[in-house]
Amino acid sequence: MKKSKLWLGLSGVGVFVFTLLLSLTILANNNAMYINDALGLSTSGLVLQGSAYGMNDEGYWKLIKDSYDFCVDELEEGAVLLKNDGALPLAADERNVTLFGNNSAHTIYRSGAGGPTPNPEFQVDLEKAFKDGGFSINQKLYDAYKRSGTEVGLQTRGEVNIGFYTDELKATFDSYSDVAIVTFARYGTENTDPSKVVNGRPYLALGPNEEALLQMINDSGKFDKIVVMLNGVLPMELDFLDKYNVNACLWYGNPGYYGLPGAVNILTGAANPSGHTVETFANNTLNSPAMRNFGDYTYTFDGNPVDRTYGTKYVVYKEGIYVGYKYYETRYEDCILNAGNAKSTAGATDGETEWNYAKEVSFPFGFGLSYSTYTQKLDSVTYDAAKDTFTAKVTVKNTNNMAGKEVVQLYVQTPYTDYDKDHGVEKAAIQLVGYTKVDVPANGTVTTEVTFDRYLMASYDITANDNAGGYILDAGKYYFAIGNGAHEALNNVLAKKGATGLYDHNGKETTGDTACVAEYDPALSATDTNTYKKSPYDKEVTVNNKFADADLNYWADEDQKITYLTRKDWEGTFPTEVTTLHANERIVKGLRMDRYKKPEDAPSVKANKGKTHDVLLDEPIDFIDMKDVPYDDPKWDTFISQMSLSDLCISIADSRGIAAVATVNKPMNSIAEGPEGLLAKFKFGDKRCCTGFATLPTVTATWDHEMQTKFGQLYGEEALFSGVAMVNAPGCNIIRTPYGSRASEYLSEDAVLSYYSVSNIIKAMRSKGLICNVKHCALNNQETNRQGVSTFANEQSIREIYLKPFEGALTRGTGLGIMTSYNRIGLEYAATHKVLMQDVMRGEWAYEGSIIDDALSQSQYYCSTADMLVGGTNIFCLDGNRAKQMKELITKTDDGNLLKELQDANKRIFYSLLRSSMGGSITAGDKFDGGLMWWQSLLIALNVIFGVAAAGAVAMYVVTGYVKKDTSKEAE
Amino acid sequence: MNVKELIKNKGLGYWLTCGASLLALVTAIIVFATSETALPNTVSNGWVIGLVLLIGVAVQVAVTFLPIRFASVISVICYTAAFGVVANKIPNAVADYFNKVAYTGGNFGMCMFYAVAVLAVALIALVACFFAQTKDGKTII
Repeated sequence: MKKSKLWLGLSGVGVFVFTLLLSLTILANNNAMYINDALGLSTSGLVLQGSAYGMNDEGYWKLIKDSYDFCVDELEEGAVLLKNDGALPLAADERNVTLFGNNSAHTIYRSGAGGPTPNPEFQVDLEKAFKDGGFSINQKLYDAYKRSGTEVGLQTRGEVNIGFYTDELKATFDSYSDVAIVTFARYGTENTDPSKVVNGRPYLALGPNEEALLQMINDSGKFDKIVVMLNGVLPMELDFLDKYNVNACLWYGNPGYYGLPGAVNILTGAANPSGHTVETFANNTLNSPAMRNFGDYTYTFDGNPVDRTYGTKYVVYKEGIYVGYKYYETRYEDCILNAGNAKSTAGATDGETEWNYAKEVSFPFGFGLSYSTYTQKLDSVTYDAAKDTFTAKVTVKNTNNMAGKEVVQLYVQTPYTDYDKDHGVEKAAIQLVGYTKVDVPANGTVTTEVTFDRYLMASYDITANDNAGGYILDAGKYYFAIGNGAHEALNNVLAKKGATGLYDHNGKETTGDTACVAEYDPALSATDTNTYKKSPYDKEVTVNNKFADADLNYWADEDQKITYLTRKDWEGTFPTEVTTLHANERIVKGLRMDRYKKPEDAPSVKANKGKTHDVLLDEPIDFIDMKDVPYDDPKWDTFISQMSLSDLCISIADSRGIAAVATVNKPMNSIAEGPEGLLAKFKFGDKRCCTGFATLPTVTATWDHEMQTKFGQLYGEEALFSGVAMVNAPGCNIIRTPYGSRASEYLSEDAVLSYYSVSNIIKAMRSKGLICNVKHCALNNQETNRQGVSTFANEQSIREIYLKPFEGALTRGTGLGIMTSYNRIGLEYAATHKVLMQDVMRGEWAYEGSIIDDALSQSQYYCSTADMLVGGTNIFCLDGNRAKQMKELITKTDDGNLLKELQDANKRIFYSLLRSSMGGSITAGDKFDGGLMWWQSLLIALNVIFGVAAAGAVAMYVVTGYVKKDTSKEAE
Repeated sequence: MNVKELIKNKGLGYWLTCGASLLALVTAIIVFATSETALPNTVSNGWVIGLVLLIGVAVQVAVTFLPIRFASVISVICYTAAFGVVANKIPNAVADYFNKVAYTGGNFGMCMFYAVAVLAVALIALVACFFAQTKDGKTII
């Protein structure tokens, strides 16, 4: 080979290696926080303090034991026994069982959304859980399922065809015939909702293969008992239980990687079930008013607007406040009282001549069975005017000889008055206001109390205060009621009101129990629009209409205006699908999110260098010096003024964490994910992955403030042991429909249950120094088109339902982090929604912490950096490029207004972080270098070496191929 | 210009980069058609991958008519840079796949296809550097 050819080849190799190395170096730097985290550098070497276990290996092992024990406990207390004809608990000699259902070998431990990775060596599947629980299982069938190659998904129920059960497999049933334990599963995850219809029937209905399986079990005649276990959060249609002679049914949701023994303990009676549903189990999951408008809807446009990225989809919440049980129970009351043509067939199951609660609902919200039998009596409800709270006293009696835990659920029926009807205020017939869980000894009696803020039973009226809007309390009679779920509580209220014709969720006649009801009359002469005119969290702030433009009627042409569901006229207003919506000029204009213009009076950045930023203080202030400094203290301005534009751009950019700011000695910090447990690894002991707990609906289904708090505490401890000071979790969007795919990250269909559960969790996490970016605020109730979908809803539903859990997270829960959602609220992208972030969160809720957006960097049109910052976004999630954009924008435009917003964002971020475990772990005088990590220096060195080598090869090629050739030519 | 003669005179180095460019063109078309959904939510401008590949293709078209000796090295730069762009856009999809989550969306399979296809293109161009662009060794520079 000629020398020049060789050097040409080597030049190619050199250029290839150098370009590759350079690209990978950029990649590594863009993901520096991942690498730092993996190398244990994510908190600049800080060991986070604040653990009750002691931050060492010994403490770690104690924590691991507690976490794994808790996984079992939460399933024991969160799993819901829906049906039991006496088959459970199993007798001591019923231990030869067959685990039926392909999904028994393919458990959905949690959803596919952000969360922990499993530790396979410690994971507990059903096989292990049953064997450890003393069972002999039909191993041949279980192994066959494992090999089936079929798994549940968003478009498949994951059940094998009946032909799977060969004669050989059927022959194995005889030896394991004490109980047929059948597992059905339904799957939800991030990004995509499940198909509404699979094999010609609702996805959440029993599929043909599942039906055939139950039929085969029945036909075999070999099994003494049939127990169905429901795996997954999405509530299945359960009208098949009687048809197929199912003796008992247990829902446990997504059990996490280590919790399944809890479900087995319930079957054996080692644990007494005490969970209650967090969602209504409907017989026809497609029938609810919310389901009428759920999914994929596309605007029609005139012509073809140039830029429509993330601006073509919409969804309309025509059901208003009638979400979940608030619909089913309210309609039931109106049927019983013959009001508002509630009995019409609108929304009724096909073939029914009138709407009937028992035909629509298989298990109500709040329902759950126990092996104990309890009676409850509402002794009194007293109002404390000084605290503006009610306290209910309840006596719980266990009438059998098995000790257990009983949930006391307190509901209220507020009056639905003529004022409400005239002013368009909707009222649910029953709504949860509080709960507690008590230990009740065998044959014992305990008295307990439930206290709640009266504010929680106020209704939002957009016409109050001369159409300014506000919360109101109606004049009239209020009914407080307790019961095993919303339906029983409502029946108790109806009994008190003297109604007849009551029936339970099975359609069985009932009389209700007036001993479970207390009346309250606030003695108002008229509707009270004044008491909650001011925010309960800041008396200087007026609560008034802020979401008029989230209502489709604000934007739509006259012929496209909609009517929200009202109990005044169930038939006439039962939602129809909004299948076409024309994007008129106002809508097209409103969809654009890149609106920021530099104000004319914006100060100059350059001219103010050294005055408003880059200020050289005589006594520099470090990050840690700001610990415990109140938010309003002017010292914050002085502290922030030291920082340069480059410094200010560091902390707004999250790349799975925030880099260090050397100027003020702020260490780097990671931001972990997720709602189902931490996506992180421990830094102690065996350094395993953090714990995958049962998902949030199961935690919430415990209906136990203590359990929810303990979950938050253990989660917070795990964060300390894995070096995490901030996490994107938990989620608290309302589970608006049964098909919301991300339900496992959320809590409940009910705003108040979510309000309590999320605030319990966050308060506990914060007690361990963990900042939780509670997500996704707000109205992110479907995954379909989640990025940019225009979500239309009326202000009453936004206030009372969709925002309430977030309000609880930031107020009662003392949260210092929140994540906005991908969708638009009305037409406004949540992360540019100034009204939501500035007026509601920071104004009405007096929130001082940071706000992060949901990870997205797709479109300037949809999510412009400047508009997001000005709107109130402080941190750009997984979007390191925003820092560069911001710096370039401010430099280019010399926009002091944006600089001020940037300074405010930094203040919010630092304020939150200083109140995290990181703030509690730094000692004054600690130095944190914002410079290069050792691995970055190494990469630079390698780049230089290979760059020089490539250049050398090219030079040699030029010399041998051109210079020498020319020289030889000259010589000739 | 006698195209037939021009083609007849092409060396193995040319044909290798030509094959690489054909694969690059197909990959670029697939990228333009699929990158919006195939890449994770957390990245923008996925079409840049296709654009960089097309620059390589354009170079190939140019050297077909204006042969230069070190054309393969230019192809290596273009296609390796394209691979670098891919590598910078897909890590979240890869992380999601191995963490068994769908946190940032995207399609892991498609992302892997981009990576493998573009790397193959770059490697073929690299091999071409060891072979001549023309049979008679005549080039404009």
